[in-house]
Amino acid sequence: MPLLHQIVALLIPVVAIWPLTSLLVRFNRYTGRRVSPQAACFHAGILAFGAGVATWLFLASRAGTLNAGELLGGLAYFFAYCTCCTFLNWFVFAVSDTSMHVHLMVEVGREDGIALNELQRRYNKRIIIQARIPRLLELGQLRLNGDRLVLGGRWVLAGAEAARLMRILLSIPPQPVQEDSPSHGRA
Amino acid sequence: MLRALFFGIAAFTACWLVHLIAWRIHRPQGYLLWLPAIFVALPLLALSALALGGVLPREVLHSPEHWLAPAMLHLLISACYTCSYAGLTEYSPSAEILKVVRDHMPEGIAIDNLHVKSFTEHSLTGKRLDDLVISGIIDIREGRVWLTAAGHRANGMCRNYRKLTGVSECGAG
Repeated sequence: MPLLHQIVALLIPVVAIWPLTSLLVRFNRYTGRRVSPQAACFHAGILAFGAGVATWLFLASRAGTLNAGELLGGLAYFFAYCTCCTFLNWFVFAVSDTSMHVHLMVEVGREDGIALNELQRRYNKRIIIQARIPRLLELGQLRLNGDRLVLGGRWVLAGAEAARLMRILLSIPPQPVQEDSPSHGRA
Repeated sequence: MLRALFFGIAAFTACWLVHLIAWRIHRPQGYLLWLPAIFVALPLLALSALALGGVLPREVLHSPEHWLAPAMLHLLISACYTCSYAGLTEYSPSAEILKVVRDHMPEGIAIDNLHVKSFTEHSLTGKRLDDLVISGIIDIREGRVWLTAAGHRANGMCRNYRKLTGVSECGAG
């Protein structure tokens, strides 16, 4: 496949994914659909995959390089490529949405020179838990059974288990310091 | 494209094995410097060495249509891995909440009784304030917290990004 065609086909998903996310977020709000912006990042990834594959198919068929093996290889390549684009797009959004570092920075930006005690009153352990429970309910990872929280899904826990195994492989402590551990307070 | 997929994944796997061996010997602190060195600089050095040694034909290096697609895939997988690495060194509060709920299954747990042992004010906010001071985003003087010039820029970028994405300017954290 000519170089210019490759560049066009590879750039389209990268360039399109964020504007598509923004369009989907606005479309969902306009039509009153209750879809979280984090889910919109993944929906935009599916659309970017479609756009990338369609562009590649069009350019490859014009260049006359398309056959069954090339078609399967191209689909597999674009699936891997667009999965990475989707993850990066979601990651940037998730950092702006859920990162405690970013939240603290924005909170200071709202009132530059804020007293440390006031900052810790506005953003603390209780508020962090309160912000996460509705998100976990929305993502289906938790369910409410009366006034009790029960597990609703497993993929966040599966991800946490995979992260624990990776930590062991990479010699990183597999779990955070616990309140009752001897090293608590020194972390 | 199948060839591009194979070489893209193979390049990432080779670099990841180098990263694994290096981390087993000694885990460095500044991963934002070391991971790009392993996943970007190392393959470039290896390719240059192979080309200079005559193992890799120079025509391949001079014709980007041979290596653009595998290189892009390798770079994207490496970028994803580098971003995920932060999740390995910082423990997810959401996952910690789910683990506590899992320990109380099948009856579940009332929200008021939810107590996560790894959640301390230091681990959640204190440590992060320290990180922001070290990275030059905020400054703490006489009990008050100020944004530095870099902090103002980062804060502006974050707010503009969220505004353009179509969501509120501040996430729930």
